[in-house]
Amino acid sequence: MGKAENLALPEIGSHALGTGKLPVDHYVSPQFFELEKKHIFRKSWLLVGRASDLKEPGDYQNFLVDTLGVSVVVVRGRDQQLRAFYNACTHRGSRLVNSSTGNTRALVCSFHGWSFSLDGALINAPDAALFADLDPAQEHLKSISVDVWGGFIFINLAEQPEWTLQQYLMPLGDAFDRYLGNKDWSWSFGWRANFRANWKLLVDAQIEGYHVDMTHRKTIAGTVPGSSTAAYFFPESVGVPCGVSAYRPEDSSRGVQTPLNLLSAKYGATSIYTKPERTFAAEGGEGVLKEDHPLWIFDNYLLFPNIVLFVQKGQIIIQRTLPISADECIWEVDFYHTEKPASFGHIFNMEQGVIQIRDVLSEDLYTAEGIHANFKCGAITHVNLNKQEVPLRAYYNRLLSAVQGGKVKGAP
Amino acid sequence: MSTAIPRPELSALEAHIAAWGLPTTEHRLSKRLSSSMDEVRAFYDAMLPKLPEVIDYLNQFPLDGIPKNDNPLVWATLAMCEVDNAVNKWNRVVLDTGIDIRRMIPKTSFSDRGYE
Repeated sequence: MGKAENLALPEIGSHALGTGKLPVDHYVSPQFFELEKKHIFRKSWLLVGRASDLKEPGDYQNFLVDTLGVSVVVVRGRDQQLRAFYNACTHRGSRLVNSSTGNTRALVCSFHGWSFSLDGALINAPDAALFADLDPAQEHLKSISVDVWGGFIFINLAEQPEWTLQQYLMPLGDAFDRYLGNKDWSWSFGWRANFRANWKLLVDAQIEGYHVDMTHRKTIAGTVPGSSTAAYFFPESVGVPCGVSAYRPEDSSRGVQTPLNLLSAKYGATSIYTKPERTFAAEGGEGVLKEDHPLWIFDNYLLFPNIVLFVQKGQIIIQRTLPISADECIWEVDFYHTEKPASFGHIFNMEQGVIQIRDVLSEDLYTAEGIHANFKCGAITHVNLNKQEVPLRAYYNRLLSAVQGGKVKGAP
Repeated sequence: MSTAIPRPELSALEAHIAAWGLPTTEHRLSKRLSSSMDEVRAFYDAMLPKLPEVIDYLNQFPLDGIPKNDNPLVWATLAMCEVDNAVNKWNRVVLDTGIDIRRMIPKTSFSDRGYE
């Protein structure tokens, strides 16, 4: 159970990140989780999909915010506009779509057959005369704010979002929007898993470089040394509190490059931990990729509250974590590339990259459940954070400001 | 037009290709996890010297033009990626510092949440 006095640190608005220990109550307190549901998941911009997956009029996606029980339909209209609605028929509340994706001419309720146009208007209610005073204009599907940044679709469940999506993601800016919105990025592969851990522990594991040398000692240790990661934060941002840059070591002999790694590097650049002999083609990237630095590999950014976006040349990795309860969550990762494999060599390179990254991720995911259990049982009441882990302080500070009203000094 | 690359002589490898030539990454992961380290190493050591030749041979075809008879060879070659870390970094078949890989469910798209 969370202690009330621990739920009020650090000072909000000043972004005085401080150096003290942080209490763990925010990960295990049911009361705090209720605040997160109310102030974070109902008010933040949440990443739900990719605009290029909804190309044609009637293409739709169903996104479930599990912990709120909210099902959202995002649909491409005949006017090419994306719209989002609660997946709820205004007759008696039945879900309108149940599959995660599809295409439809209208949103038709399978309970009694009420049908809605792609822009949410009630267009048919069977035997409408049976209703005493049915006014179709009053039965429009309930709309949800939706917008696109970088080709990715975000929704916001607030009646009136406090910030536009552009304001929310301000530190990233137009250059990212152009680069990530490049139509040539296509989904390659991904995984999901459930964890008996607070959702934030899965985020925490991705936004500091201090863990790399030990956690990844059996995979990539040495090739991406913890000392080659740079932490940064954006104190005035509401949607992007922090991030990390990763670089290769100056001594290229560090770490283990296996014969398979070196062979696969001849055919592609899927593995981010091998210096490829062949590079991906990716349009643009100016202002996004730090290509002028010979050792730069990737930057990651926390898109508050639950997305870690990895950006590198030729590959985008998106990690998403959604809570089910304070003690359970769904974790997902998705990979986007600019090229489809066209030869066996490229397939071989991708397989090597997929497996290498998969094994590294398995290590990142390994600690969360043990940490959560230790927080939950009271074995640990506070955590220590060093300078390299300062993104966690920035995340924590943003989290507290969000649950206490969302004020961020200097934010729009 | 360049000369066609002939299929390498692989008769000594056929038993390994049959055992490891499984059609998906998940099948090959399962094969690694259910094998002994001696079996994994025997496969790796046998395949490695031939690997550049095999990749050159397979690489000459368009993806939809690889002879169907070579599917087990394609899959066994990809299985080398699956055993790479076990042989070169762990000296055991299971990575004991990570979650069980089988908990990670492969997705079919960004939107796939598994509730079709």
